[in-house]
Amino acid sequence: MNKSLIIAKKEFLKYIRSKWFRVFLVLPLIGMGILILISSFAPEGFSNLNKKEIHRIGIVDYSKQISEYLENTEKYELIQMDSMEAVEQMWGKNIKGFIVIPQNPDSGEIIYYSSSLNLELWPLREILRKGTIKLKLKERGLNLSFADELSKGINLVPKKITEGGGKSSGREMLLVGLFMVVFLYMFIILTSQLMARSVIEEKLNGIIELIISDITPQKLLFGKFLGISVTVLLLLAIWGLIGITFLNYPLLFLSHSLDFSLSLGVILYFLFAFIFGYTLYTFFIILFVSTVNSEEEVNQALTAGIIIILIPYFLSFFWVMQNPSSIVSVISSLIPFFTPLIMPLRLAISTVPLWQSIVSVFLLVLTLWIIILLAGKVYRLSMLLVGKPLNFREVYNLLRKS
Amino acid sequence: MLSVKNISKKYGDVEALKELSFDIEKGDVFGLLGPNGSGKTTTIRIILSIIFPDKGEVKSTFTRIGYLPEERGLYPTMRIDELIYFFGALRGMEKKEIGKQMDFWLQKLDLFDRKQDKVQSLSKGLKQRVHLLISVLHDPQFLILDEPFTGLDPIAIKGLREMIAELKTRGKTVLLSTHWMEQAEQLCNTVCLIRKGKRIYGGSLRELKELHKSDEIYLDVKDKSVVDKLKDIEIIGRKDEGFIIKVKKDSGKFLTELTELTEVFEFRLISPSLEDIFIKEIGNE
Repeated sequence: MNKSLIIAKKEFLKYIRSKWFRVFLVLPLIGMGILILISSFAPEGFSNLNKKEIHRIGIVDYSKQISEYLENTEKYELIQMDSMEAVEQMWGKNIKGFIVIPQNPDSGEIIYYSSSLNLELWPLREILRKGTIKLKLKERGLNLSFADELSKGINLVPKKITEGGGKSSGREMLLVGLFMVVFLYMFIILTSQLMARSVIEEKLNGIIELIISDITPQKLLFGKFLGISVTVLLLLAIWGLIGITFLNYPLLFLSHSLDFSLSLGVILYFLFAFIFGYTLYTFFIILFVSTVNSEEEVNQALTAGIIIILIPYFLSFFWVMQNPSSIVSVISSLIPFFTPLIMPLRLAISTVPLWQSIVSVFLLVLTLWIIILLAGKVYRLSMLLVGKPLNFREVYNLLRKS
Repeated sequence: MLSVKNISKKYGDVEALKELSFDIEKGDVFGLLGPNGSGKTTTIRIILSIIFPDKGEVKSTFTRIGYLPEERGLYPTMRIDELIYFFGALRGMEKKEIGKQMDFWLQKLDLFDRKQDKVQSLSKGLKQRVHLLISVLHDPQFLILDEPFTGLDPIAIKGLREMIAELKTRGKTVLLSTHWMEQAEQLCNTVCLIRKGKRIYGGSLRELKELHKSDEIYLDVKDKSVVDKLKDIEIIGRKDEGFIIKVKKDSGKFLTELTELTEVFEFRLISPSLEDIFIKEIGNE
């Protein structure tokens, strides 16, 4: 068997037999169990997602005009009352909340008061809109039956159109992009932690000297990377399965027949960004970890590495999502360390010019190649060095001499 | 055969090795001797291609090399048998062959009953034996032992010495790096003395001893007062029950005369120990 595969097998077996793996497997199970338990007791828990519960809403109408035109729906029962009664009823849990309509609805704000603001407001908004329209029709002496037609909403569905003419649903694509960001982030965090521990453990207990008399450092590093990647992938796959088994959410998702149709180019880019991005970050963290000589220093090195990963993570959520084609989004998606998280999100929610995709691929591959070379060299040169951690100058000198 | 030619190695400003050269012939038990920090481990790492020299080269005809490093760590959560299979596989051995060799050495090192125990449950001495087993598992032609006696109790030291002697009789070549001169003297036939990365002596142990041969004699007699009265000797000092002396005339003739004066229990030329030579040589440097 290839020596790297032997190392990979050893790492894989070591981790799946370890206590932490069992803990990580059991944790989501316990989490799901608690969620299910809570939802079975809580009146507004997950179990209510599919139930048609009727919400009682108080109406305090100072205009004395609109309330008579407000109609109950399948989900909302509207009850007229004065403000004092509304407050009492709300604290007595007889009503969910109450709406206060001012004397002049055209100039004042209509306010919804409730002890908990977890209710969807858009159906109430629709009821009020329809009521207002009916009032206006009445004032102008028009037929009230027009109200339904006038209040009919326009369903604006976001669809992303690509240069090739293909179309895909923007909302679902945003979900895919965000899923990619979160999944890659989780994968990187878990893998880099395990890689760092594995590297430092061998360095500190001295077995590294015995191993590298049988295998080259580069092959050793690659074997570790392979074994730990498979372990983390397995763990995430099991979490995914647990999620699907215990929660209704993914099935609910599918039942809404979401449009996840992705072009082949985007799928390939997603795969590329995932594999190359994850490899880049892991080897980048190895570069840091190779130079240290204690568990404490490993934590510091990991923190430094993770801060760099956090930048594109937050950029994705707070900037790129809203402005996928802005100059900040474009530049950050071309920076190799940010590309794996930002470019897939941009591709998912906007149309990215081909040259930007090509440049990002080129820069990412080039950077990865440099980082792998550097990490392999630094690892080889520093793994037998014990004592104080190496500073950048010492690392530079070692590399120069090698 | 292994030939180390003019190797030099620098770590920053520190010169770890300075044009070091030596040859190891097949069947030798070669002692690489020097104080702490003299460059022994660096030399071994270069021989094993773990690191590379700045200058010089190493030529070797050995294809299977075993290594017992000075730093002895193992994977604590692995079982002994798993660990052995892991290292056997890394060296390209078949599973069946690993099992056969493992059982042989586990029996020999009195570890057979513990083969399914985790490494972390072993004492330091037992871990050392596991290390030794790993180093000989693939039946190496050339075995490198870096400070193998460190941390061992006297019984374990005796066991290890016997094992090295047995390997020697089986025609294996051994490089023994140590600063324990007593062990090296008993096991090695050739040695290389190094200090601060520089060779002080390289060659056979017998020749080294010959070079440092002394004319001092250990003398033990029944009537000790006779010795003080002898004219043709110089008394260097006392040792145990006897004297260390230098004889100014023919020693055979002197002994004949002495036996007429008192009963002679012991009369022998003092051969310097390797430790004496080592201290003298390193001290001179």
